[in-house]
Amino acid sequence: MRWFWKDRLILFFCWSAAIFLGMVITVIGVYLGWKGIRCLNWEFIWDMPKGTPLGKEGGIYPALKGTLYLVFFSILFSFPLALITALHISCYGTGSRWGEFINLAIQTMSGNPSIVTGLFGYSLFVVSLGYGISLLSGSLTLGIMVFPVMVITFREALLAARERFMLVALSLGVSPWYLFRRVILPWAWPHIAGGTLLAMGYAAGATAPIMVTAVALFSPTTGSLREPVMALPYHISILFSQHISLEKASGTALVLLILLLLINLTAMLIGAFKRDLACLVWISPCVEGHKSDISL
Amino acid sequence: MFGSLLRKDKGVHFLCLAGATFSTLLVVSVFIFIVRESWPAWKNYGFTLLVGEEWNPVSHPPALGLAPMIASTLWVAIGATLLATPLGIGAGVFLAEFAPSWVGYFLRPLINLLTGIPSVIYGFVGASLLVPLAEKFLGINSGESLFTASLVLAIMILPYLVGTLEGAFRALPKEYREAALALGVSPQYLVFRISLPLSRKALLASLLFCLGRAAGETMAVLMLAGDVRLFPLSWFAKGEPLSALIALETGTAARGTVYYNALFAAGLVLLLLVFAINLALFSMKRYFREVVKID
Amino acid sequence: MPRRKLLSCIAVILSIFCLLSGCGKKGSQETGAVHPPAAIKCGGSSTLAPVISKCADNFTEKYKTWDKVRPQLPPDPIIIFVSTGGSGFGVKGVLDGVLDIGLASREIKPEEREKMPEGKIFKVGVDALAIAVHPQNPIIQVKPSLTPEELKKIFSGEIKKWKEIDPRLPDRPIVVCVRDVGGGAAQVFDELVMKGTPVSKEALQLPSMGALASKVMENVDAIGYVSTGLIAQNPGKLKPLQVEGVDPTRENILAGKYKLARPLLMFTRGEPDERQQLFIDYVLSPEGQKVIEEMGFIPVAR
Repeated sequence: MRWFWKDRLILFFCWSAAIFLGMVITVIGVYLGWKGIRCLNWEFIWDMPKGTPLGKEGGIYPALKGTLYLVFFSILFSFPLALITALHISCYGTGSRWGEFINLAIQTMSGNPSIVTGLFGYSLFVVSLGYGISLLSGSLTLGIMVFPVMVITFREALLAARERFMLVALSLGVSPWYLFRRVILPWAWPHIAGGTLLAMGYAAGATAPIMVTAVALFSPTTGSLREPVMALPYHISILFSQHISLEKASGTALVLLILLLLINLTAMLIGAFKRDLACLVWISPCVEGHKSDISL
Repeated sequence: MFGSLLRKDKGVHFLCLAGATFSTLLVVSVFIFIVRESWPAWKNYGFTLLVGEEWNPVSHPPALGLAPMIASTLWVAIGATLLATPLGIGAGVFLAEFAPSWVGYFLRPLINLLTGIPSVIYGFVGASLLVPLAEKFLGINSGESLFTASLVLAIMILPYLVGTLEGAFRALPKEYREAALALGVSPQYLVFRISLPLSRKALLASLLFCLGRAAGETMAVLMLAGDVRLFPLSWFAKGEPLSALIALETGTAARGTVYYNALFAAGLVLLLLVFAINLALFSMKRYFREVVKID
Repeated sequence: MPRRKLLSCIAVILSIFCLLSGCGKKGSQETGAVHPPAAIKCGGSSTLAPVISKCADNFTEKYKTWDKVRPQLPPDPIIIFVSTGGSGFGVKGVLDGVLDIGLASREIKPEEREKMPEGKIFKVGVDALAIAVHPQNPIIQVKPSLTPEELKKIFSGEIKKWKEIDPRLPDRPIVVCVRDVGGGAAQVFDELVMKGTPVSKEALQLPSMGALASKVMENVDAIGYVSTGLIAQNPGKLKPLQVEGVDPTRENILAGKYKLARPLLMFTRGEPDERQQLFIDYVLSPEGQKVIEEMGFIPVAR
């Protein structure tokens, strides 16, 4: 009889936790949608910021462009390295001490707070190397930030591919490079794309690292690597914290949210966004024991 | 095993090794760089940097004590994890055991999307919705506080907690479940007496992970914690966590001054905090592989 | 094998972008070597930065390319960046060479001046710090004027409750809002009012003048030093208090009766080059000064 009441209580608790979570999602969505939808139109997206102070009227075109540039260049810098590193960890470097160390180092750095990466980028790229506050410094910093995320997703995919094909292929006498190029990479491709998209979303939303390395209050954002840019997340924080326009800030947040939604939906469509791939990236150390869950 | 076989392919192996080594060095250099840049501050101030309660970089000589910021970071991170734990367990259990399938189909992708929302949006929504509410209901004279910040952080880390917990539950061997249900216990009993104790390591690991995430978060705490240099004595006080301090003052400190170095020292403290958590996680993974070989 | 095609396509695209970005970088470096740098980077004071962004926007809109400003110049597009981060960031950025033109809303300190002996300083406007409160704060009726001593006590945390200023005021804590150490306002206030007494550690630090103003607008118990420009930009949402019975009006500031005045400065490390000079001249021209006036600051008389 005791368990009967406890059962009810537990059931109630679980339902309410889930409902709370659902409510949070709804509140964020509805709040941004309700506040932001009013200023969401083509002019908002294609216009320069206008009004006094700048941003009160007009659009967010340079910020949108800046975010896309930042994402593009950061992925451009980190993707090849991440792929090579993941390949090394999962295939070539297995069993060697150095390989283990690389794995451990990247695993550890994946938890590096983004503001610390920003601080590093500031002191290395902005000050020491003299790139200044620029798109280049910002995307290099973001590249370092998303690098461990990419390596970890790629590694998971390559490991699964390895388990599947490597032994058979090697015993058939296929050369490792051919195996990688023609079998493993094509097979793991969706997962690699998924991981890259995840990293893109991460880079698009990051504010702290670019705040000290790449952004300006006003910039035409021409896309030249040596010039500062505007970016959506920073624009949101400026519009909100400087009390320029709450409505425009919500609109900008909505645009950023839609952008991220598109990225995530693409990842889902590619089929790589397994139920908890997103969590897996972050928390791979503790899920790894439950290999059956990943079942790539 | 594979490694030695593959290494016969000299060119590719070399390319891989070089690429991986380069990128690892780059990643590790973050740590080395932060240590190097903060070194003068440690040399000049030593232990007072950690325990000093005064942060006034423009006074002569500058007072550089990080204790209030460290305490704020801990308040915020631990508070957020504490707030998120019951909710995370509840929602994780719900998704794994009790959710009608349509609710699960609906909720799971949504929770996944929640992980993709950047912290500036959480900060923005939190600051415009929660701050007025906190002023009204908590009776603090200005709504920003460590509590408000950890409330928002709790929501930010919740999806990770739910995700891992559900994953861990589903990964448990079917036999336990079948045996238990055959014995006639209620699903609730199964969850809280069998499944949850069995996945306590996963729970602990994800809690640790969430603690690390919460400690390193910047934008949300910058917008919500209140930025006050006083040593925070309660959860409802205002404070300036390390990440907010770095984000606010990095642009102002001139290179070569001890102020600049002290900001890197703040970064180092934050980094070491998160590293300690990550290493704990990593050793747990070893434990998982060796002891809890479930599948 | 469609997958292979996809792969090679992506590889080709990536390598093209690599090349392109490489070219772009080289190009800009070359132009940088031959001509003075095409883009102007300004940055600093969070009070002045919005004004300068507006000027930069107008300037770019009006001329589009440099040859329209002055026919001798090549027809490069005008590109001006404005970043914010506080006067401290402006000074430091100019000294480090990160910025071309620094923006400050305080006097340049002698030790900073020493580091840029050939630097030029242009005063583009005058601002004052008003002691602002929420419009519903009863202090506006009860005690509309504060003395510097009272201000010092409030901001140093000696007076913690409104009631302690005047018994007719409510028994509620004062929410003191200040700028962080990088702000020009923090240093001006420190010099003119605090005179070395440290600001209360309980004070709320805000990262920009806009944020400070919005905090005072939102909170009935808040008090803070807000730029008069921002008070003019948010009519009715902020109420300035008198200091020693003097209102922070334009006349009083210009006459020197209101003590908390501060200059708005643009400065360079060396002699400004032709384009930088043209932009500074634009800010000082009637058109630029109109923007300064629109944003609530006092233009400089020429």
